[in-house]
Amino acid sequence: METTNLSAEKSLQLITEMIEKSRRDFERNSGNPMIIWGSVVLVFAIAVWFMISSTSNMYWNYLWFGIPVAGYLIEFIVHRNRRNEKKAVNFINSTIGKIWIFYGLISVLTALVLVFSGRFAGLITPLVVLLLGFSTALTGAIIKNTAITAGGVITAVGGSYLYLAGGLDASLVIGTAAVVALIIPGIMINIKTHKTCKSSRN
Amino acid sequence: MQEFKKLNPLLHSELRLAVISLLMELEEADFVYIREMTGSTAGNLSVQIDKLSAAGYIDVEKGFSGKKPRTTCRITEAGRMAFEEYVESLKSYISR
Repeated sequence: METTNLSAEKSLQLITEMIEKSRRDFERNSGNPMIIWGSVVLVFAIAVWFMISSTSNMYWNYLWFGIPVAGYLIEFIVHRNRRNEKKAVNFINSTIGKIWIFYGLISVLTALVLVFSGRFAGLITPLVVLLLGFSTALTGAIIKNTAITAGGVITAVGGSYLYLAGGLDASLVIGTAAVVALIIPGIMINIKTHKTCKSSRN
Repeated sequence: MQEFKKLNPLLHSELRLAVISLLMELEEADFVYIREMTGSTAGNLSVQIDKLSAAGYIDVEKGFSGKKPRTTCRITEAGRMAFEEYVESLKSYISR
């Protein structure tokens, strides 16, 4: 690209091209954080379910607090490996990132308060699932993806209802919520953006 | 007869306009990102970024990522206004 002067038409074309190029670049693999966090939650849900089933010791529920530790550790390793890559922050990614930071923070603090208050510990699962579904629905709304928004709403309402009214195992509800609200939407975002990037290159 | 609005000469240049257009979409971007997106050479981009920075259109922050130097650019309020005025001026040319 040179520093030459432009016609009015070429200027507008250049502005549009730059904006579209940047958007496509941001969309590429943007589902990865959801897949990473969803997989971490799923692995912990299976681990908690397995340990409680085989030992009948409810203290294995404390394993849930390992999710943020494992998740942020993986994120740290992924970012450390990419620290020499080009970097930019756009408004959409920044907003989505903040939603998930607050989701993690509020979920952990709520769980801690409920556990150590000695009361209402049974509300941890529906609250965490409700917040998970809500965060996914917000993410879907921001990136204008109806399927992800619907997945979030189904997780929030269905997950909480199944746990409270259906008496389902907490690990089962949280594991399913991780698949419906995080892993599947993450894969959908990646498939969609790979198609977009591929067609824009052709 | 409709008059042509004067186009800001600082923005009416291919590479500088590309940089400002990119930064309008972003909260911030590093030098490598802008270079890859615009397909420019490091030397040329560096000169144009200095010009935009001197005009107060972008903020340039030099820091480190690990041991490697990193230059981060952000558009300023003055840069945003200049870009919006530039697009408005362009419209007077296109609508004729």
